[in-house]
Amino acid sequence: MSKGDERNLDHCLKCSTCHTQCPVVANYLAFPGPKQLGPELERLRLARGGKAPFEIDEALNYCTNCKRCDIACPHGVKPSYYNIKNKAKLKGKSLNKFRDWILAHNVWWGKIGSQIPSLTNFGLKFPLTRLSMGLVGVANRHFPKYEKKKVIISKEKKEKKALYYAGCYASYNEPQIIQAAVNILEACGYQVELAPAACCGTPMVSNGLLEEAGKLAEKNTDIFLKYIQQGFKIITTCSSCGLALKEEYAHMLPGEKSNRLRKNIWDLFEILDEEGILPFSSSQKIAKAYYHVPCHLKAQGIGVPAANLLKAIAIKELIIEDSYCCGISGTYGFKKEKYALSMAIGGPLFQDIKESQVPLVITDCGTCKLQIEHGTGVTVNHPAVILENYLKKTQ
Amino acid sequence: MMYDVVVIGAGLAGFSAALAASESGKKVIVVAQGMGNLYSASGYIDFLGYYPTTSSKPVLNPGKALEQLIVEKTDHPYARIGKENISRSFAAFIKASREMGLPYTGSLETNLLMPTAVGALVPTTLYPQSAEKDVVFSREIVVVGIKELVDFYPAYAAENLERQLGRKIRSVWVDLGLNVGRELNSYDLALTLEKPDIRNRLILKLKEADVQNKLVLIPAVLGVNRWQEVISEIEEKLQCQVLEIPTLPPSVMGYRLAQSFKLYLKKKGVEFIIGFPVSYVKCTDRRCEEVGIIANERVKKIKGYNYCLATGGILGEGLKVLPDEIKEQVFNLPIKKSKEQLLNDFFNSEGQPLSHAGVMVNDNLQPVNPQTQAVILTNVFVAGATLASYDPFVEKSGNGVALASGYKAGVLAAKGGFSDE
Repeated sequence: MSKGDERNLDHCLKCSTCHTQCPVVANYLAFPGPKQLGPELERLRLARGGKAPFEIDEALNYCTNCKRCDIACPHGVKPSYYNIKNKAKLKGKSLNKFRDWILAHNVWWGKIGSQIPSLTNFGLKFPLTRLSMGLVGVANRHFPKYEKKKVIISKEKKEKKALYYAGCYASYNEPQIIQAAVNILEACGYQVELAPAACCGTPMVSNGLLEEAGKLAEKNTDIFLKYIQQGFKIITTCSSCGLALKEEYAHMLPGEKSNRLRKNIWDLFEILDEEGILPFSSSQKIAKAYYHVPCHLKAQGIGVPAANLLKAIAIKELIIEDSYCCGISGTYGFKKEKYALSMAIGGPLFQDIKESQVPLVITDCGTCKLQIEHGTGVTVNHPAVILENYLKKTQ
Repeated sequence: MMYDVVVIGAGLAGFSAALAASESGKKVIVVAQGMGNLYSASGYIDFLGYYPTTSSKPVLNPGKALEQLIVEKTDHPYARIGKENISRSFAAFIKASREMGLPYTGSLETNLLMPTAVGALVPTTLYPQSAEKDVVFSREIVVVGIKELVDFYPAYAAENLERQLGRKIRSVWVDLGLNVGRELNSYDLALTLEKPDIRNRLILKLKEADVQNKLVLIPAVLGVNRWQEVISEIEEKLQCQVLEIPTLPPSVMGYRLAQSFKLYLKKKGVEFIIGFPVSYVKCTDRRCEEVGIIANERVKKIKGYNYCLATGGILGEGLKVLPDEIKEQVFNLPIKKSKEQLLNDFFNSEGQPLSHAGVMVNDNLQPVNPQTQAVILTNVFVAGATLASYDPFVEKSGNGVALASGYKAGVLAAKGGFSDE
């Protein structure tokens, strides 16, 4: 932990603006909220030498790590930083711990599951699988389908180099995103390579496995830095992966390395916006769509570059909405005891989508997509998948 | 992307500037360090509560007092804004508030006295329609406290009101029987009271407290989004009048205004980047060319033709007080201040000289050098608590100045094409 983060605590005036922006508070009254769990209790924890967690700290299990509190603060305090740190110190029930551990290692299941997708997808529907998942505390909801697809990449050497980091969801559940991102980057004049790094560690961070996440972050950082040294930019299309590499790593491994890393992490549409390259042609626009801003995109401080592109190129009427959290927060909505809460949090978003009568929702985050499709029945796509169709036909 | 107007700050001044600029069809973005202090404010908009500032009697006709102030204090933000622009901002806000589903009402010719959580009576000019109730002329008042709510003591408020109004005022506690296992603040209770069963519990308890034909003063917890429904249900079922009292933060009345205003601006096409302070500026030839936020050790640049600076005062962190100096945080503009900054008597009725510190502007709200009066940046317009030469705390003029200066700054920034004057 860096000293800067601790000093940050003293800027909290207890105005509770974060409390009013917390999606969990709004749907679960017993949850003490980011101000109390974060800066308020942290003062006490520090005063007591920060040893054993308080009883109230158990409530940290209900923090979704959406980071809406962080950007709400008028004075620059980041409650989620304290929540993550202290969640990792909780002991908890062993069964939930086991379940959380399973969910935190989604990358393994993804790797195995996407080997023979048809078998996995069948197995996930199998009653006995559902039953045993239920017994360890996994919610009875649809799991994403696993998919495997070969990605076609040009071998041509170019000056501009991009290392594309797809993340778990695109890698194991929706490889079309990878192909779309590669095609867009190539159209922008990039030589593209796929990152050999595994999971970014976000599910581990959210499930309190901070030590393991730290080790993973260290490993990934070394891999990325090698590429960065060779002039690569690291490109992401998953909002949560992007935020982890930019911000979470800097908390876990404060220092020169993570600073060098975060300077070179770009969201795909952030880099297009920065470079001002538009390899698209605006033909045959889609009449109407709804763009859901993922919480972890909002927390990156880059605005909504994908939505701006979609509006300019692909969609006639695009509703851009950042007021709502979808409620799934990665693995949170897959937990039995949190499933109903997760759907309640998403309620206002689902209602807004239904009321706007759109045939299509677009969002950057894989799990937001799962939740929105589950809650509304409306098709959800990644902006790269949409925009790929508008690439100028050249060569 | 090039914006017509970049608004820095997300308080009432920033929102008002964004409103004005978007009304003229401009492309507007609001950039702010966090959500503004409007979220913890009372939701009332006071234009001028005490004038002259030494007067202990509240201003009854703020419009008339403003005219006097404009003549007497030529450096005051209101003098820079001008009466006509004050009226324009007033009308524009009322119109917008109706469209955003949070109708405000009031008149520049009248101040209403509104009770605070400790029972003080504060003169205010603009208030939600649901708060259009007169405490001074009400026959019978009952102050209601809710057991579950922290930081509101009905007997205390009632006693203070008694002293000012010179008549007996009753206070009661109601217990909603919520066993949540933690202290509840006003936002929490407001969420709860949107649920019909809890609302009915409150109505039942109020009935027992015999409130028929009386004015019920109750902390502002009557719903986060559906307060109109909650208030009218209580009033109809119990044949009483209900006036909410703004509470300590999180203030639900402030929340309603901040949230509704922001959503309204979004629907008008205004973009927002909130959560990162503007910590990069590029200025050449007395013009701001671009600003930027620093996220992830990298500058994200935001370019506009014109800029509104509405980052607030000392509390909003638009101004930072250091041991020997006061700094304006975005453009490092020079600060106009008096020699003596703090008087030992903290609650001095004439106010603290420190309150007058801020950025000096001309009649176009462009920042000027306090010594030479020369314009420093021609395409930057300053609004709200960043402005010098007034004391919002003693005058009770903070939100009025924010609304009116924000509106004028927004109009001028949308018009553009300014040089010196």
